[in-house]
Amino acid sequence: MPEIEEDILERIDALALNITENRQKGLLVLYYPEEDGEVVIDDISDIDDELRRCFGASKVDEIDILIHTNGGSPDAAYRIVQHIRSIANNVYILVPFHAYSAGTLICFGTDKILLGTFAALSPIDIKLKTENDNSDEIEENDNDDEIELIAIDKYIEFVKYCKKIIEDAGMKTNLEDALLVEMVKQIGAINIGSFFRERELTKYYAEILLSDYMLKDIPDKEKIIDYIIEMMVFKFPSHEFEIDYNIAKRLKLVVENMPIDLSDKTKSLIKLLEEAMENGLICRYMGNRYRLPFFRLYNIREE
Amino acid sequence: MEEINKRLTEKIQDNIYKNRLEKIKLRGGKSREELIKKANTKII
Repeated sequence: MPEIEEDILERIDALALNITENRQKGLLVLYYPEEDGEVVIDDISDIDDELRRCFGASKVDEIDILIHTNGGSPDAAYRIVQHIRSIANNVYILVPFHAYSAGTLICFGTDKILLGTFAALSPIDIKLKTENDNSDEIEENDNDDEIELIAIDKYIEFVKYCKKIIEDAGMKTNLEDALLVEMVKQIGAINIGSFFRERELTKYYAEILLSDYMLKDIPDKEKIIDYIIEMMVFKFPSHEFEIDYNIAKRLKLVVENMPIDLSDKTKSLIKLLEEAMENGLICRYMGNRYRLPFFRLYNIREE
Repeated sequence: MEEINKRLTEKIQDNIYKNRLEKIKLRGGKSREELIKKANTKII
């Protein structure tokens, strides 16, 4: 391996260990490439390997997770954070840039979210890729076969709005039939069914994580959890909607801004990981459309 | 503090790659998600 490339990995380790030393707790780095990286069920066993390598069979009092992801499977996100919770009593999550979607769901299972400067979470609305048997062959326009559930909700609102306008003008209409048939034709009845099923599951996961971890000691937590889920799963306008510190605080999530020094260090770490990826040192492709994540647990030395 | 081990990070990432390859091989080239979906369609 050329020396300059090897140096990137050393710089990653040195910076991560520096963060570990400053925070005085282990740091589990979960970095998912922005292009073709996603949270999947297979991640759990690799994360478990790392936890066992450092902690063996013992539990630890606290741990930091540093996460960078555009999202992925809600089932995987739920199980990853539950697994980490089975090993660490207190879990803090550092988000230097963003933890979208399934990443936000992982945040719900921690005790506190620490956001870097201008870092963001996102709604955990469902976005499904429609089935395509030749998916590996499609390299371009691959967003064309993705649909957000919120888009369906908004379309249904639009149908109701159209009907109301016509009826308010004193006319009768069955316009909604044609519009809804067109939607089912475009998306597929089975896909619509699985959208709603996935959303119910995600809602269920979010309830469990918020109730058992992030908001476990908050009196009257049920009301707050209902509000958070209503906003995060049903109400926010788009999957790409950015939930910054101020919105997260309004939602009553347990969130803090990182001190500037920590924010800078965690952002630098993500940039180094991106550099290492661009140099082909980490996050190899498996197939055409899936890229491996980078996982590594940096531990403090036992006294 | 844990000592910097030059090769460890590289080794961990290699292991992740090997683990995934092994799993994919065992599943006949499919992801776990694909197999779960396939199995679910057969439930009666």
